[in-house]
Amino acid sequence: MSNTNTEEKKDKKRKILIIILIVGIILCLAVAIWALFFRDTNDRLAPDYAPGVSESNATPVDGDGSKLDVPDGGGGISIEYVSSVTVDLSDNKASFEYTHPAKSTQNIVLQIVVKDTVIAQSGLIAPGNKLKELPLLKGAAKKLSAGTYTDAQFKILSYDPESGEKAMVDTVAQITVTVQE
Amino acid sequence: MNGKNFTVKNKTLSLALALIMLFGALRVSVLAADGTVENAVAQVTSNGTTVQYDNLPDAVAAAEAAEGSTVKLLTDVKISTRINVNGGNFTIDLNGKTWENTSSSTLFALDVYGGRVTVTSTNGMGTIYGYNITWEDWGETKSEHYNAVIVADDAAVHVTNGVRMNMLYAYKSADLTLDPGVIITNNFFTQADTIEQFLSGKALQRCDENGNTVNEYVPLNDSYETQDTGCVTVIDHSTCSGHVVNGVCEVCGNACDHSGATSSDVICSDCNATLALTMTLKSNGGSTLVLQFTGITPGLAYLKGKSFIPGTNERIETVEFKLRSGISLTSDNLIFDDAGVCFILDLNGSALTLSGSILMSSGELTVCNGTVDSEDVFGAFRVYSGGTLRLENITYADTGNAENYSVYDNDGGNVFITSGSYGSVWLLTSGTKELSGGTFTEIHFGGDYGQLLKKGRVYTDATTGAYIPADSMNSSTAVKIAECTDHTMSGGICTKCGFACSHPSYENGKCTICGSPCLHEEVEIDGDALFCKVCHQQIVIKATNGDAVSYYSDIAVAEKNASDGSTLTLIKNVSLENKVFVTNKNGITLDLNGNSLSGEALCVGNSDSEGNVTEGTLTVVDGSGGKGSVGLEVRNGGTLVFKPDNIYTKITELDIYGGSAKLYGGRICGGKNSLKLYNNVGMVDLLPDGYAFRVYSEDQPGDLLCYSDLKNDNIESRSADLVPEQCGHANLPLDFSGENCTYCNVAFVAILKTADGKIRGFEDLAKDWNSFGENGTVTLLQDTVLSENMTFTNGVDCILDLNGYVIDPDGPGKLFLEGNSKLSVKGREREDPYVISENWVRCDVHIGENGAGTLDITDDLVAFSVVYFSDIGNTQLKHGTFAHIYMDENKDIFISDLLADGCAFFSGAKLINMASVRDYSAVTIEPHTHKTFEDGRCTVCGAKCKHTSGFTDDKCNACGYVCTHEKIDGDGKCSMCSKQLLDPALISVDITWEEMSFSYNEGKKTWDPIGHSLSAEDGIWDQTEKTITVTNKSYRAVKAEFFFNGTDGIEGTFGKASLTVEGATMDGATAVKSESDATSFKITGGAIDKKQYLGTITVKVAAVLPSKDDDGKKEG
Repeated sequence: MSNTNTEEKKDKKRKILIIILIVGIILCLAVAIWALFFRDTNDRLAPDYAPGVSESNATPVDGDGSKLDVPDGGGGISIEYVSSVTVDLSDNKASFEYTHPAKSTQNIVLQIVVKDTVIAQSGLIAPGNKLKELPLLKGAAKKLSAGTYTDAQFKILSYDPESGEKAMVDTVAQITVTVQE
Repeated sequence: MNGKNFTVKNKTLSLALALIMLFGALRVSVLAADGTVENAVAQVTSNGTTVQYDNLPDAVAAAEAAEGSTVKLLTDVKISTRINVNGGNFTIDLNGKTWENTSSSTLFALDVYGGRVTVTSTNGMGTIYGYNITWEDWGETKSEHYNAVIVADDAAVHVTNGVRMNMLYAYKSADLTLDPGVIITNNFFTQADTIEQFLSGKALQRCDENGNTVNEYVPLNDSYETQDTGCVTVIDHSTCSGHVVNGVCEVCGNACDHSGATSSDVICSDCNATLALTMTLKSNGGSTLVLQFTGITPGLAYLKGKSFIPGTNERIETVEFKLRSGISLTSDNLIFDDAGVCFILDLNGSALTLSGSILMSSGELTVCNGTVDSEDVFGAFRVYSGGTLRLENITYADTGNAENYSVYDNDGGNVFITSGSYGSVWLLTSGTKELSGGTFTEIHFGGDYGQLLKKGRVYTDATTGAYIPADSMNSSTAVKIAECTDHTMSGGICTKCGFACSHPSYENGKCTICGSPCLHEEVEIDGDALFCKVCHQQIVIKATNGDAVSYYSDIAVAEKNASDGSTLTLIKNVSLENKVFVTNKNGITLDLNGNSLSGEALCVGNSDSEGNVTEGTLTVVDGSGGKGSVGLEVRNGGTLVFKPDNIYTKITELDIYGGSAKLYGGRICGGKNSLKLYNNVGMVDLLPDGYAFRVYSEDQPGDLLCYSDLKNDNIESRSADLVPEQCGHANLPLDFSGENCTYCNVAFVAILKTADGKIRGFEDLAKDWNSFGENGTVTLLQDTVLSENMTFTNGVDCILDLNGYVIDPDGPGKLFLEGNSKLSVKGREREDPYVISENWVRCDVHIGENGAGTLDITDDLVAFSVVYFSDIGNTQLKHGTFAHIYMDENKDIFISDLLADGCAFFSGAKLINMASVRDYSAVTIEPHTHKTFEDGRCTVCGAKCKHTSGFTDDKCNACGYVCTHEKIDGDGKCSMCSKQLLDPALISVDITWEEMSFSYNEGKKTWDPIGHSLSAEDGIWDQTEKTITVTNKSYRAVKAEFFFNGTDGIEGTFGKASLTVEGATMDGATAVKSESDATSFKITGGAIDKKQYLGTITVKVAAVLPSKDDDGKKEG
């Protein structure tokens, strides 16, 4: 009798351990799947090479045909912007005035950064284009609240128009972001 | 050559040769081959060669040309030529012949004007005659004779025995020597006074033409300028002894020279005369001639005309007369007046009795050892200017004549008396006088009797020998000149006799002989100390006055000797054993030189118990830079100026009983005993005007003491040091409301209350403003004047509150506005409105050209005298009265441009249109409403429209002015019409960079074969710097910051980590001129082993927002 009871108790402990192990394995798989496929990192890394897709919101602007006087092997960009940016959370986009004049020698990618978080990023913008709005990156709207952010920048990433390599020089322009609901 | 070849040419040559031979034959008749000639009359032998001549003149001429030659007559010669000799050195040998000039026209035979000629005759008597003529005149034979020989001044002629001449004539200075035996048949005469000079040791004896003498002689000392000597021959006469008859030499005619007597003979054996004295002539060359004379007068007569000792070429330097002992001598005047001779008259114990005087007008005479008496009313010795009389051991025998002086100084001669007895003397102040001995019953002297004494001599009572001070002497004091044996020394000099001590030794700094302190004229450094080389005392004081430097071992002595203006420099620390008084000085300086003066006090000024005040002035400095210290006392009559350059020089004790003490520096040490004030002297009395005391505790500066707190009551309790300092009248108490400085009590003309609330007082409105002015309010406290221009510049914004007072317009300065400064002038009603109804600023206000200033007048109580505007700046006046106002006539500005909106200029009640006026007098600004405008100006008063009514479509609502948007404010709006011209947030920037590639050189690698390891040196990045340029085309300035984020530890640096690039120059909304700046970048650290991406440079751009004070306006 005592042996039978002892065996039964051992079986129950094994079952409990197996169940615990199975549950643990399932949790681990779930976390791994979320981390791999569903977690939003918020950190939008600057690509080392120019993206292949041009920015669809960019519209051409006229230039006088001249280019910046750039030393051989060097580069140059001309930036024109209004330092106030408006983010409308209701339609999940940022409105602003940014011109990438035709005299620039670099293609650029424009990022809007609020408190070190990229909330919007353009595709490749060739010289001679103007950009007035960008959709917010996924999840960005949740991190913003109505009000004015002074710790915000346009981050202009420069790329060689021929090789597509990222230039050694990036530009950051101080802006003020006003968030509206 | 043959007859055939004998051509015409040869004939001509033969004829010429024949002529030459004929002429030569004529010469040969004179110059034969052996030197003989036919009809030769003379021959000349020179250097062994003899040449004969047929005429004497040629022969003499040839001899004259041949030095040392001899011309010898060969026959008697009668010629009609006078032969002149002008030089050469030769002999004429008459050879027993006769040379006669037979011409009644040429007359003379031989004239020697120069050279040296010897005339001799080697073969019997030779004769040389000038022209002789004898005729009968009514039975009387008459004759005339002319010179055989003439000897001129520059000629030397020596005539020897055997030569006979009819006449001889010698010039006054002729060098003529006649040997005994020479015969002169008719006359020897001369230009000189006598012929004696040509016959030294010789005489002339009468003779016939053949030299046969008779016992008659010719006196040599007669004049033979015209008188004939007759026929004479020269004889020897070396001495007159044996020839003297009745005192005269019968041979030469001279008086007896007593040459046969000696200095001990009383009677001359030659002339029987009584000899009174010996005269000794001496020369510097050692020649001596001793002569005997019957008196002084014959001796002086002998000297007359003699400069040289006879028979020598040595000049007479000394003539000594020595009387024979025991002989009395009488004489009339004796005159000693040879400037080049020193006479000595040694009476040799004898008496000299004079009916006249001994006269001295030049040269020097010493009279000694005897008795002198004179009947002359002026005395025995009369000295004239230029004469020097020395008297030694002479007794003047007073004849009882009251006016008889032994010595009478006629007009300033030199008199030296060494001993003797002189009765009365008469001396003048001019010339040199020196009495070194002797007894005098009267000394008549018009000057300081001390001047008569030789140093070391004094006057003593002739009877008692008691000392008589020179200043007690008079003409009736009988005195004896004696050596001073009881010196009274002062400064090394005897006050009695002028004796100067040589100070052979010193003890304790004083001469062991005379007690005079050592002057320490030579000092030397021994270790760190300075010692006197002479007395070896340590030097404590160096006294300087100009270039004069002296040293002292005693500060009291130094003070005593210090002349006004001297500086006494302390060389070492000194402790005074007794008080030293600085007195009777109009100003000496004590330089502590970093040393201390302690012990008893140094007192400035003094007064005794009877109230007698002795003045003294002392300035104390400290050349060392503040290490010195001193204890001082100031008494009545004392003036102390304590003026070290810094605050560290200490007054260890200061006692003030009276006088004046002013402290310009240093400090009074703390402690109740360090400062004692008596006789109502207050602490405030120690401060010069404009000075205040600052408290220093433990060498830390404390507060300035309030003037009202400087009470003597506080002295006792004072423990801190007191430092006098020049008061800057700054940091006055915030509740300051007085008119005098809180600390130094100086009266202010104004105070400045700065924007940050500090208060400073002004003594001089313009100067203090120009030195200390800053933003704030200047408030006048009294009527004042501008001593110089009161300049408002460099953007200062100040209020000038006239406060009811006046700035006198007659002062040299004026208000001057420039450099974007702004002055607001406000007034206040005066207390005496009936005198001046407004607060007149009777000054020019020049709006300087160095950037316009702006004048503002805040109320109607301000009036200006003359105001000139070279630019109006932002001046917009609403108030003010102007006696005269005018604008720069070369600029497009008018008086109406000064008006603020709603104002106009009035002259009395009449409104003045100032639209085109640049110069106007007596106007006031008063309110006025502009109703209509034309060309932007009020049609009534001329004021410019201020466009305060707003703009519609860029057009002024009042005057219709169309805005051209010349200025843009910080918000991008037009400064005038406020139209938004630019988006202030729009930024436009170009960023360019050089190729960003950098090279890295790996370090050298070395394999260690023992340790089996590879070691490598550090690699090196090339130091190429890449440029990043930022160009700003924005309206606003842009700040660019640079960051580098290296990969794999790569490091980089920028030449400039940030740049501020000014905004572009705008034309309206368009940038017409961009601004640029650049930085550099290089890699400085890290290492790579392959080509790789080094990192990212981030250029952070941000607009620079306008500051609070910057309206951001920029002109297009």
